[in-house]
Amino acid sequence: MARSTKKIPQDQSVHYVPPRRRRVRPKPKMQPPLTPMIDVTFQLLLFFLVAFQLPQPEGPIPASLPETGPGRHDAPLARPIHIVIRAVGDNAARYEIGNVVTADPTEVYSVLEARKRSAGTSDLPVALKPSGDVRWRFVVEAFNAAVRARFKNIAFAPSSS
Amino acid sequence: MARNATFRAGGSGEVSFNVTPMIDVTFLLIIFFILAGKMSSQELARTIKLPRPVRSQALKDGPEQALNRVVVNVVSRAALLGDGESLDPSLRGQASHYEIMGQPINVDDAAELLSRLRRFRDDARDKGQKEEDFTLQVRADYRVDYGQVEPVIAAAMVAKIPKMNIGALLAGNE
Repeated sequence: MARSTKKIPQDQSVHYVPPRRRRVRPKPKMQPPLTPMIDVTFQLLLFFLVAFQLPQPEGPIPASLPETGPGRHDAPLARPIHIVIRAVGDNAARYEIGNVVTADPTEVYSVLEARKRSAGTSDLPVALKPSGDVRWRFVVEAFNAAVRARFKNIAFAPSSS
Repeated sequence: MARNATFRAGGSGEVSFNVTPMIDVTFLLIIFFILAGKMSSQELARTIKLPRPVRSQALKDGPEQALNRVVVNVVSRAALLGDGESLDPSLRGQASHYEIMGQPINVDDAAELLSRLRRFRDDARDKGQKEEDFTLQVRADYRVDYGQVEPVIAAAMVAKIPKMNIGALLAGNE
């Protein structure tokens, strides 16, 4: 019997089988091109990396607004400590606390500490009197010095210019 | 007899690496940066540069404070300039506008400022917050003049807001 034939049981006939079977090739997989997608993805990532800004840690320095209206002051007020803040040029300021005149906020704190110790209490009111043309950051420096010295009653006076 | 150790060169297959995890991680990074950009609060105007006082006494803000307060941002004109632009010296300390919850208010419009502050105070009270704890937080750019911030403080006094905080940067490496 030739090799190209095949005998099937229960069947008397002889079937022809081709000598070489076609190899069954696997179907090619369809895959979209990934390279442009990766390029765009990296461009997006680069954009967000450059545009991202880390928020600076900030927080509130607590204060109290003076209340208005009658009946507010039940107890006689102690004489407040006045801190006058005047602008010096475009980007500097000068702090006047009584006879002390300084541009250094650390010295403002020292003076306030000394006043607190001599009064024996931190219930003394502190009144900040900045002129209208003083930069806000110098006002915050003075306010911060008063909070640091643990004064509880810190108020803003109307601007003197 | 000792065996000779011979190494035969491996197959001629190409070396390629799997890009799928890399794409996954890249997309995760993109999603992170998108969300991190969006999650910054609408209360806080990002163009403002807060002052950083010496030995700052600023406290870390907690979520519970946000319920019973109104934040007024005082935006400097200098903050709105692009690179290379310089501000007229006469305008250097001027505020461009006030901003509450992303809504701008003209610097000269004291009535609108007062009305908004009262509305926020009333809303907080209607939501069950303690009226005596309602707080005004002033976030002013360090470059503006005190005269530009003073109307905010004055409006808060008229609106009978009992407490005030001043926004500043936390104490860092000084």
